[in-house]
Amino acid sequence: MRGLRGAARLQFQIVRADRGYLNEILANPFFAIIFLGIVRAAGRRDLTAYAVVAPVLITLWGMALEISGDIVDSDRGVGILEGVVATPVGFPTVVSGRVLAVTLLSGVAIVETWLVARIGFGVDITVHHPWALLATVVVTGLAAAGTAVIMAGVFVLARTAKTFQNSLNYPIFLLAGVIVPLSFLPGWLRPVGRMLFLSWSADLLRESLAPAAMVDVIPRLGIVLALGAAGLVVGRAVMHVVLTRVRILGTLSFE
Amino acid sequence: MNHLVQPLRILRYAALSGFQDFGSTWTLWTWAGGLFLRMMAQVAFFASIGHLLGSDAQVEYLFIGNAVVAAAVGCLTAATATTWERGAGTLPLLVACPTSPLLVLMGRSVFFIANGLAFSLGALVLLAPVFDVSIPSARFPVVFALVVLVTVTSYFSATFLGGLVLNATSARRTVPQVARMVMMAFCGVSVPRSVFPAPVRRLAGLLPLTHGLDAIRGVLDGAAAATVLDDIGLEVLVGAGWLALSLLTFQRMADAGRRDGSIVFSSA
Repeated sequence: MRGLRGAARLQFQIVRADRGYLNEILANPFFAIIFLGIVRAAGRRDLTAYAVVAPVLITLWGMALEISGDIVDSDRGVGILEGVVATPVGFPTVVSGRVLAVTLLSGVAIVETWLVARIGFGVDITVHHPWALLATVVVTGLAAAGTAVIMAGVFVLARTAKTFQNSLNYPIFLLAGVIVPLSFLPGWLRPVGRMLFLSWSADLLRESLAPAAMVDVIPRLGIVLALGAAGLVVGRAVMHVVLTRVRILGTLSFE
Repeated sequence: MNHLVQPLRILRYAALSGFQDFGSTWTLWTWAGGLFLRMMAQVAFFASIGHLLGSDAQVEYLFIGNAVVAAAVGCLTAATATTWERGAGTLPLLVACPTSPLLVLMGRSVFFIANGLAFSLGALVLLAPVFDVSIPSARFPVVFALVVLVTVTSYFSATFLGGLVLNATSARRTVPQVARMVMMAFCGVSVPRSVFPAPVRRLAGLLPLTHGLDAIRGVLDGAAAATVLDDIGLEVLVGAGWLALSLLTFQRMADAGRRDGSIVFSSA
């Protein structure tokens, strides 16, 4: 836990020094404007929940992805990746701690989206199931931190993390039903979407804003957490294999 | 004559070296599996919202808007080109060269025009059938020409932004990101501009893409030629304005960087 806390503290300091990490937070109000504008133009106010949930999840995932790639890329760039990998606490813990820090920051996206809806579009968002909303936000953040370890592992091996960073966002948003539910995807793609924790989070968040009673909340929260934990376990295994390989080959900082 | 030949020669060599740099960063496979796939997914993501709305007209509106904005998105990364030069240690040399540094930097980053074009045309050709959007083959050459126009005008705005981040490297990722989002939100890409207040609509009219996209929608909807020509004229005018702004400001920003010593041989 101390290692996790220390990594999170380090990330907060890095974000304070390099505001570039806050780009996703900066982009959030624009996404909110786009989605709320689409719904408004189409006269479909019944889809407002879809329009406000999507920007929050986009920001959260975008920040997790950005940081998991940048940890490897920037640490390698300044020549400290070997030192970080050699720390007794372990590289996966450092990655999780740092992603957790930016995930906490992405909580700002909820406030931003609410402000755009309220001030920009005069929409009052009623949270009908606040505890479900809060619990979903928390488990989603934890799941993002766990999943990020897989991505960081791949980034260690890849020639440049940017290749993956630039390609993973929208395919995931599409497959996870961040705004358009999985029921609109072709049948053969839906099981793929269900493997992504974001798809469960998106459903839970949308339902928490609707007056209808929510069912199976705890099992579904459990699935989000389980998928995040699976990400952490797989990520640690990937990281172990990758780090062993690059240590043998001497290519940890090959750039 | 020499006044014309020399800049063209400089542009040619700068472009050649830029394409070489691009080729050393991206192979065909990493570009296709990374950047291109991402843009196709982005277009598909926004177009699929039309299915959620339950309207074929919305699917088409969202598809065309996002396929065309892909060209602008592909170009705006050119705004970060100056920081790449700084990182590589070549920026001071380019700023000190006898010709305009803007000319060299434009040549060095001209591959972004090809990049943006490939995104947009790739989406229009590959994804239109997926979303049942019909682009009549007779109109495709005009649409192609208009996508080229939008790509070039967007590129001119990117060169202006590149000047802005010349002395502010910490903003190198933020400036193009905000520019992309502003264009996606207010230029009529996914949301008709009529949704926004009049001042926002007027400001959107000063951005590249807005009138070009209107022209493309006009061509596809069979609008009167005069309306389409008006939109084309406005897009050309806006593009020329951004180019003029780049020419006016870039040298001043480079001079300011020389004076205060912020143009250095390595990234700080």
